[in-house]
Order: sequence, then C-alpha cells, then structure tokens
Amino acid sequence: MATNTTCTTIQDAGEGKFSGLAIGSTVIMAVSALYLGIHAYFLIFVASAATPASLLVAAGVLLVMATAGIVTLVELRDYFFNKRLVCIQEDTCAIGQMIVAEHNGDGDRSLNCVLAPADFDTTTLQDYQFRMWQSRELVFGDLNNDGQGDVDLLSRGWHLDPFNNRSLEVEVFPKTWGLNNLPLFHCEIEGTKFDDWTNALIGILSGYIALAIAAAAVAAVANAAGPIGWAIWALLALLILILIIFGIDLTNEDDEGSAEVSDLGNAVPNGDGVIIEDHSGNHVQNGDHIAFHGRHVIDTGHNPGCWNEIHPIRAITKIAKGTYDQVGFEQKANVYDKYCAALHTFSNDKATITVGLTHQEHPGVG
Amino acid sequence: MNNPNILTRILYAILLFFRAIIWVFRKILKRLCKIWCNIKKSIAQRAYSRRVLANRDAKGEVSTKLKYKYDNVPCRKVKDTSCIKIPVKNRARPDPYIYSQDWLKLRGMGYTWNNPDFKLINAATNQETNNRNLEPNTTYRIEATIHNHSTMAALDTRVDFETRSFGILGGLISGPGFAMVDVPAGGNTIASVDWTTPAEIGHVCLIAQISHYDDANSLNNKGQHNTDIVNVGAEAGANTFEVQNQHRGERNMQFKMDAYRLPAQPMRAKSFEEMRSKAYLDRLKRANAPSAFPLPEGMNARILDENGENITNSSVRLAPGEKKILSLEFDSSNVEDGQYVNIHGIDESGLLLGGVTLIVNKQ
Repeated sequence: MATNTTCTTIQDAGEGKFSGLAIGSTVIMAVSALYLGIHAYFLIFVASAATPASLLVAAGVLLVMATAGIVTLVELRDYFFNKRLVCIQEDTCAIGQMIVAEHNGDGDRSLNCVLAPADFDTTTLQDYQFRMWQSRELVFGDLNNDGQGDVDLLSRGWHLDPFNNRSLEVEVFPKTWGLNNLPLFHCEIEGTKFDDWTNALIGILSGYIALAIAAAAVAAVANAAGPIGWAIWALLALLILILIIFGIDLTNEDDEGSAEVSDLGNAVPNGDGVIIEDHSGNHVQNGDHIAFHGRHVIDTGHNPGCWNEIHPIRAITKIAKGTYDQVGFEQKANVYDKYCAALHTFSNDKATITVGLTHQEHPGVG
Repeated sequence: MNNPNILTRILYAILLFFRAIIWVFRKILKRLCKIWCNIKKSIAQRAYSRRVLANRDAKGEVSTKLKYKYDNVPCRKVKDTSCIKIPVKNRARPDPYIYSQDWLKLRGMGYTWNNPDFKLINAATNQETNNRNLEPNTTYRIEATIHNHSTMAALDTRVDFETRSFGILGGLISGPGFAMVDVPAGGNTIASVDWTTPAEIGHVCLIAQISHYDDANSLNNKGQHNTDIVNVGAEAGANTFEVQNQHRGERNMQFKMDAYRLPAQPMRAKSFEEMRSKAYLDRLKRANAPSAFPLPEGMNARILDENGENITNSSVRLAPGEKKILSLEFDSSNVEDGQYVNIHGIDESGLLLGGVTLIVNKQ
C-alpha cells in the first residue's frame, strides 16, 4: 500500500533546507548516502567475521548505524509526505492544455499546463494573472483567498513564484508558454518510487538490525562449532542478504486493471466498467486538452520560490478544444462545473455507480 | 567436512556470497556516481536560479550563453517527455454506446437489426411510428437511447443520425443531423433529432453513430435499426430488401440467417465484480450464441435474387455502385407469428456489412 502525500499549514510546513541545498537534492543524496554507507559497512561487517570478538564489535556498530539510518529515513519521509505541501483547497478542478510532461526523480509524473481559455498568441501575463478566473485563482491565488498576496508565505521568508517550477530545472525547455511567456501550472500524479525506495531501505536496515543481533548470538555458537559453524553462518548471512535484496518489490507498476484486447471476444471490463479498446488513449500527450481534479496546494519544497499546484491529481479526462474555449474568461462557465462534477463523481462515488452495472453488454442482452 | 556433498554445497554458498558482495560493490560505485552528479546538479541549479533571476528580461528569457552553460550539466531529476501514461485508477474514460451489431459480432454473440434503442415518433401526434410506410413531407423525431458503461460521465457526446434505404448498405436518404448529449456515469440518456421526410419516402433504415473525444471503446458506437414485417401469404417478391455496393471495387456479399432475438429476461450478475468476471461472460455468450437461435427447420427460408434464383448459400456479386433487390421466401406452415429472421450481409473477409430483421406476421 503506497503512502500518499498529505498537506499541512504554512506554519507546520518543513523548512526544506539542508546545508543550503534544496530538499529534493538532499533527499536523494541522503538516501544514497544511507544506502552506500550501510552497504559499505556491511562488507566490513562480513570481513570482521574472522574472529568472534571482532564480529561482536562489528555487530554493535551495525546496530547503531542501522538504527540511525532508520530514524533519518523516517524523518525524510515525514517531510516528503506530510510537511512539504501546504493546503489551499482539498478538492479543486482545472481545465487546461498540457504543454509538457515530466517524469520526476521521485517517481511522480508531472503535467505542466496552461489553463483555459489562454491563447498562445494573444493572452498577456497581465490577463493571465489578474483577469482570467482560472489562472487567477489556481496559479496566482493566495493561501487564504484573502487578497493578501503571498503575505502568508512571507511569514516564512518565502514567496510565490509561479515561474519557479520550471526555471529551477536546468535542462528543461520550454520554461514558459505563449508569446507572452505565461507560467506553466505544475500538477502531479503521485508515483511510488520514493515511497518504495525509502520503505525498502528501512526494510534492509531493519534486516541489518536483526542480522546484527543474530550475529552476536551466532558468533559464540560459531566459535564453538568450528569451521562448519562458520560456513553455515556465511550461508545464513547470504540467504538473509538475498531475501532482503530480492524479497522487496521495488517496481513502480501501475495497476493496469484492464482487459487484454487482442482477443475482444474474451475481454472483460476493468474496474471502471469499461473494456478499453484504445489503450494508447490512456496516455496524455503534450498538446492534449484536459480536465482534471485533485488537491490544490503550495509546493514549498523548493523555497524560497514556491508555486501552486494540483497534487495529487485524482482523476483526469481528455476534452475537446471547443470545451477548453468555453470555460469562461473572467467568470467560469457551466461547462467547468459540469466536468468538475463528473470527475468528482468518478473519484468519490464509484461504489454507488457500480451497483447498477450488473450487465456486461447492452442491458437488453445482459 | 569429509562429506564431498556438504563440501561442494559450502563452496557453492561461498561463491554465491562473493558474487553478492561484488553485486553490492557495483551498486555502491553506481550510487557514488549518482551522488556526485546530484551534487554537481544541485550546485549548478542554485547558481542557475540566481543567474536567471538576475538576468531574466521582461519576457523571462535568459541569454543563449547562460542556457548553453547550464544545459550541459549532467544528471537530472526531471526528464521531459512528450506523453505520460496515466494510472488506470486516475484515468477517467467514459464509454458511451448503443445497441451495436458490429460490437456484438466482435464479442461472438447474436444480434438483431430490430434495435431496442431506437424510436421514431411522429412530431405532430407524438405517437411512436414504425419505420416503414412513413408519410412524405412529415416531421418525425428520431430518438436513440445512448448508454454509458463507465463510472465517468460521457459529457459532450455527439450522436450523428442517418436514414438509409431499407436493406444492406442501402443508399443514403439523408443525414438528419446530430445531437449533443451528456450521458451519466453508468446510466443512459436519449439523443434525438427532428427529421422531415422527403416527398417520396417509404421504408427506412435508421443509423446512429456516437463519437466522444475520450471514448474508451469506440467499437460499440454504431447502431442500426432495420426491420420489416413479413406478411404470410403476401404475393411473391413482396418481402424485399435492397443491397448496394458503395465501394469502388466489386464486392461479393454472402448471407447468414438466424432467429436471434433479445431475451425476455436479460441475464444480470449479482454484483459488479461478478459482472466483470470471465465466468459471467462465458454464461452470457452461451445464452446469446447465434447458434442457439437457428431458424425453424420446416421454415426453409431462402434468399432469392432478382431472377428468382436461390442465393442463400452462395453470394451476390455487386459492381461499384450497383444496387439489387433481393427477397426472402419461406414455407409458412411451420412458422409461428412473430418469428424473427435476421439476415446478415458479410463480405468475403468476414466483415459485417449490414443486415435486416424480418418479423413474420401471420395475421
């Protein structure tokens, strides 16, 4: 079961700094260092098994290192999942066009969008920030919708910078959209890579703790048993190592949950009730017009320049360009509410809808 | 230790152990490279951010030189891509559909051309009308029930309507237009258009074609309603239907007949989960298999061409644009009132071209 992010208040948000580096880099480096350090020590630990006394000492050090590693990882996870995103609104909806997609280092997938009804040639930054209702509220909206700008962020020494979500990344272009350089609205579908890796590391470290305790006990027995005892001990250690390394699922697979359509005659509906004939349509590509909903938050993980985003995206559907154009300029139009309600129902009322779906084909067939 | 088997096993275990150590070393080296790259990238990013903030012009552009310098920093946490796969649980895809003969054929089930999703209503009287013997210059409302088998509503679904001559690939009479509808999740709604008949009109085939921007399954979107009443005792040649070739090349059309009709009590699963099961599908296919609905043995149904030649087990060759009138004949003594005769037109490759359903009337 993957861990999902939560959002917090501006006061409880983590600082997100470590030696002047952004939290993203810090997390990756810290996790890497932990992984390396503990593994390197494990080799020393194995080498120390030459004598019972050295094994006992090594076991003690391994116990301390592994425990410290687990504490650090738990702290990192707490920041990453609970203290990085500041809540604006639990459930909000957006209609826009995807400009560029990203695969993120933490396993998330990002959709950098421009919000409807922005036009590539004519929409000015002034309009986008102050007049167009969607971008005004979602991209430039402040924490409490109190018109106080980013006063709340300033209380932490941070500020709202919608351009920051792409400018931070060195190699990525475009960083803005349109002739007037509109900022992209950064939204994320949560992946499980960070969760999987940190969980796996905690699992490995827990295994090392167990191993250290067992090693201390085995050292005495092995010493008494002679060479056969040492061989058994080596084998045991190897088995534990293999179990630790390969017994943990580090994959990041989606639950496809759909039928194999190469044989339509035998395909059965997926969890949404549909037989997906067009699997490639499950992808969203740059340029697609989309409607989606999820939690509206401020990402403070790259402070001092913070940005608003929808994270996580809970449901996403493709729409026609005509729908994008009808969203409304200064006031929202009915089409927006219509799509938002449908997406909300998809995410929250699935159980109610599926009660009536007891026929696989046309209701007259069964 | 003197037992060679034990010794071999121990040596093998030691070998495996060292292989594991090498594996860990390789991992360590890889991680060391990654850490170094990430440190470089983080430092470069911070420097770049500061430089960008300092150098960004009014449009947010930075100099090409600056771009080049920092473009070449290796290792990145973010990788741009042209498309991303959305997890199924987040991907809200509707499935608007209609009773579709093409889809049911793909599924290996029987089907009728007496489509339950169509209605033809006289706009003046608001009474439901049969699709044969229509009055000229009269406005009718064509209604089609559009279903949605998804938990996502099918918003802005377009339904295009056509009327064609009664038959298989009959000629286009008109495309009355289209309707836009929102089909609720797991529900249905009615799409309708008004259609005024031309001065010469008789018996028509109704077609509805659904299109949706994000349709999960576009193979169940076309429905046809193409029925006629066959009067027992009518003069020879009365029970006719048209076949036409709208392709540029010659086409051979073969025919299959069965007596399939919609079940009086359609099957239902006890739950959504059971509905999704292969076992339910297998039961459904058994209950609706075309082979389970043969024509009555004594009926001796046969399709005759314009010369009265029996082509039931052969085919009819059609030149591009050619139209032929075929007829159905049968022995009525062993046939019950209301007997369905589904005639399916299929080309040489097995593609379903169209069909008609004739319903026997003994009164």
